[in-house]
Amino acid sequence: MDDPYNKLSEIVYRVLKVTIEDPDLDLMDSGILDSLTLVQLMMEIESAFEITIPPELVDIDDYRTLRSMNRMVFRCSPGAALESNDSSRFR
Amino acid sequence: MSEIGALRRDEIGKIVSMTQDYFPGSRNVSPASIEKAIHDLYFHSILSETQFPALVSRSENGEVEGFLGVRTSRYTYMGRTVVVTNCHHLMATEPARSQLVPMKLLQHFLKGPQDLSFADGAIEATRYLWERLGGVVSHADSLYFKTPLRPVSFATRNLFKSMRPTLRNRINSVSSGVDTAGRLLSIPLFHRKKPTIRMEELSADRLIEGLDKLARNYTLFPVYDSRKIDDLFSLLEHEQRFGTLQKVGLYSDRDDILGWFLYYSNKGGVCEVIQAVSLPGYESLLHDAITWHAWSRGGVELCGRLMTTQLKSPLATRSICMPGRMWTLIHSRDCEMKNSIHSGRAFLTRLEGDLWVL
Repeated sequence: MDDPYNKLSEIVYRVLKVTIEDPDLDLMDSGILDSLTLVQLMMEIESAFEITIPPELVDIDDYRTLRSMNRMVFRCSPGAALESNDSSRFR
Repeated sequence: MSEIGALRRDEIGKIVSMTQDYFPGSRNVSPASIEKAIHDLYFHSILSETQFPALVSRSENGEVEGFLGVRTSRYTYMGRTVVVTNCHHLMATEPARSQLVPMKLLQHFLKGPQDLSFADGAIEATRYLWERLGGVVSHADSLYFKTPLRPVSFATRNLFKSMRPTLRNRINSVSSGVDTAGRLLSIPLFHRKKPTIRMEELSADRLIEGLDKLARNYTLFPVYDSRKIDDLFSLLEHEQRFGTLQKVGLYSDRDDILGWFLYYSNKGGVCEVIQAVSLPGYESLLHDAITWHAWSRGGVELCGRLMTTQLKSPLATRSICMPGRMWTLIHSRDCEMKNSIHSGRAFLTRLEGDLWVL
């Protein structure tokens, strides 16, 4: 299985056209994200990780950093065996 | 960290300047008029309730950085009264956009205790956010229609939109002359016969009477009384940007109300419909009456939004219908309520619509 960190970085690159090295970089404070790209990001993440985030559980802060995105993916896919990867370094 | 709360009176000034920054159409309106409209609408209107306030997002230092207008009305749904909120005018400052303030405002609004939320006349970007937050589009209610009243003027106006104004004005004069000649020669395409039905100015009481007759056909229907309709008429009449308000009732020989229409007619000949409704069986009559009325007042085109129940009516079949110009967005935790909208069992009134607000 792909490293979810790499997978998330690729998605962020595809949607936002920026390479994020620091998993704690705040995408909102750095002005990289806006509401429309957030929705794109949500859809790409759902598709790539085969998860569904019910609208009532959408927490915008989950998309603040790569680390928080990873936490959200992990939370939404408990069976996805993310822990077996080297994802703990940014969880 | 920003926080979302109810709009305060001392923040109206900031909303005025944001409106002028982000809604180019409002630049033709004086700041004082916008200020009065906001004040009246959110603090002194039949459409404002403290439990469902207009929302603002404030930055850490208390500055307003985002706004979402909210209006409230009551509907009956399967015999009970429900709260319907209509949101509009979503805007955020540039720095606030990267803080996802538009998304946060919408999310905050949709999580409210109302039974049904909708946004009428929403742009594509709002639709995108709305759908991600669990809302859906009512496609039928989103259809925009245009009926040519003066065909040559209508055609040239739409064909030469991007032309230089001086040249465009000349072409418009010529096409207007052709339409007039066609009318004087009574050529059917250019001439509309006055319907035999009696048409009179619509009063609040007669509108209530008509709505009462319609209500049984719907499971979701607005609750009105004469006072509220009178207040709405005042609000509509106060708004001059779209032209002069025309409000007409259609009556039988026995003085029964058979239908009604409200629209704005402006100097450029655009007649923007707010509501055009008939009792079942009188759809053609409504179409003939409103098109004649608008045409006889110099209208070039009649335009507006359709209701789901009007998709097979002459208002739709004798017009050019365009999907997706603006969206009617709905959100409810009650699936059956959403179904009633999709299946045409809801009467989404546009008397409180987005057209005239702010």
